[in-house]
Amino acid sequence: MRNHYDHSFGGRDSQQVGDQILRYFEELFSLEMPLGKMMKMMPGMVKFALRGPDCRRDLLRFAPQMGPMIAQAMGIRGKDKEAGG
Amino acid sequence: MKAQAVRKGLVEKIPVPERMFFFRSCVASNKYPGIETGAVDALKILGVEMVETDDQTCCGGFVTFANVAAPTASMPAVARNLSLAEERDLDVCVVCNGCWTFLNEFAHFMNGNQEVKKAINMMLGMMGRSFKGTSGVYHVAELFYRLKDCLTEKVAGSRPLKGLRVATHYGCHYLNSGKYTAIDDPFYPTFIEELVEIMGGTNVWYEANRECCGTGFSQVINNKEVSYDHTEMKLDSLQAVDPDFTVVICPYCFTQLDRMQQQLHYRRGKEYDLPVVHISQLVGLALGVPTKRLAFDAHMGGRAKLGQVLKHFD
Amino acid sequence: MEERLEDWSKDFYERWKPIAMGFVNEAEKCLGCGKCTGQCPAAAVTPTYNPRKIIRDLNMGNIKRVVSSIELWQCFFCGGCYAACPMDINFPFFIFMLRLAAMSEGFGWEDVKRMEGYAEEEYLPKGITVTTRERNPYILENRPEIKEIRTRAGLEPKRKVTPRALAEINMISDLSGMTAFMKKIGGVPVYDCSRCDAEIERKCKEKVRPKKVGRIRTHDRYYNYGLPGGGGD
Repeated sequence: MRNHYDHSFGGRDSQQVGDQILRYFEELFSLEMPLGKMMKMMPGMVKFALRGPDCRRDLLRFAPQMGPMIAQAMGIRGKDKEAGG
Repeated sequence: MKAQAVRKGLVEKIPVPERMFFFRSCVASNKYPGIETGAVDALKILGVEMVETDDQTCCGGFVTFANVAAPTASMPAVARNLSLAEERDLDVCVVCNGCWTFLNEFAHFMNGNQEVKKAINMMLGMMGRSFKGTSGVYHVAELFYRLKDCLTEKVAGSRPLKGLRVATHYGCHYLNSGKYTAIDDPFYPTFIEELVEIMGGTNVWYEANRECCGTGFSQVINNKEVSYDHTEMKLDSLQAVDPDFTVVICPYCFTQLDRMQQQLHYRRGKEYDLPVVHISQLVGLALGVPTKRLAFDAHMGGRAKLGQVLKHFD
Repeated sequence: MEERLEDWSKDFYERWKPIAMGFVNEAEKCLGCGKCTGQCPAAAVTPTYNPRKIIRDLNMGNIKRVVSSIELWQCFFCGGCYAACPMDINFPFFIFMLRLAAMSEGFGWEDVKRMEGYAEEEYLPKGITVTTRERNPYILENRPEIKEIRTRAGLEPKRKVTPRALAEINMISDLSGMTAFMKKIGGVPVYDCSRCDAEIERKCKEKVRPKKVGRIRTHDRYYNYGLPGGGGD
């Protein structure tokens, strides 16, 4: 006997829906900083920097810490390429 | 007053500093400023000076639990607001149940999860800030209770609320989310009643005392009828005992109980005459803060009775 | 509404726990005692809302029923369930997370769209999530403007938030994906009640459900836990 809400899930069963939801939460709560995610943050940082000289100063002071983060993100990318990904 | 479940151990842990960071409430600032002036002035008389800054923004609780801001977005904002108090080496005083719950829960979460805290500090680093988690967040109501000896001293002999019948409404978030961290029992709280008695007032019980105010957080926006039903039940119960003041400890409850009286009159023909007051305004009145300072002209509900009651003071 | 037992995702909750980073705790400890539901203000006014049933479905992995339900969105967020719970289950957080899950599956966008304006028009541009504007004609006629009230109370006529603070919260919103998210859902306009007419009233009462939010196709929600007026499954 079908449930009346089944059609909203496009034929997927609870296991599949559950998997998708878990993947969504994994992404949402991930603390990892892959390159793609970092690139998406750039516009926000630029916007902040443009808001005033004190904003620029604080952001630039932080810049040295970003170096290793970017390197690590690109390092991960490199590994993926080696693995044929 | 019969039994008391107030957690004396927790009360004693609340600090009594000379200065505290005053966390402005969105609802209070833009709808009921008397809540803020009352808190600042009353605490000053009781020996605690409030420090404020225009750098402080909304706690973020509303947009978070409305599911518009994910926790990943609002947690850094909490860390940022608290860092303002930390850099001044101050603890935080809030006037709202929602702010208290939200700031405490998220700060507690960050303090218990070093990886998350590190990631958030990375973001704060970009704006030249850092969050250590060292500032405590305290509700003005629990601060008043902590300072009750000083309050008793200040009102000694004068019993400023004498003759006034006061109904209490603790609201939900302070006592419920604070199941183990608030200073009183969620189902049988008495600390506000104790303060009312210290100030000379008479507590009146009503059946819906521990009921939620009815906003239901977003229900008042998304499912209005349900919110009206619940608040109607609450206000009916209050009107049946006809208190001079209904004292609340949260601006959101305040807004609901204050403004719904007119809405229910307009929509359902109900008649209510219930002045609502925040604990900070009530303590302010008892300590002699002028009524002009407490912004009673912002109040919508129970204006007829409010006029009468305020004559008691000026 | 018979449930298809073989359709449940039995390990869902166990797999969810580590991902949720401790935001949700120990639903498996639920005794099914019902104290949560007994004191619940939402259950009192919307009889099909039942926290005990929702947490049971979460534990059993009956995910589809929870996320497609309208009951999930009826919670008052009061926390009374947590206060009453002998096992200290922080149920409001479950509701909060399950709503995010429901949104990722296309449910609940009518409600979220109505709330989006608070972030877009108030929190992000001004740093304060409550407007100074009043829409209720009764208030407009019977109460002075907030700047006058504040001035009489000895405050600045307008609460200020520094431009620097706004820059910071906006960067937080940009970096965390909140801004992009908001652009995706858009919001619904908030109408001025003092200028209400039949057309505006109709639009105001309607809960507009977008057909799509980004790539997510949206769906209606159902009464999955009982009949709206009360009564059994």
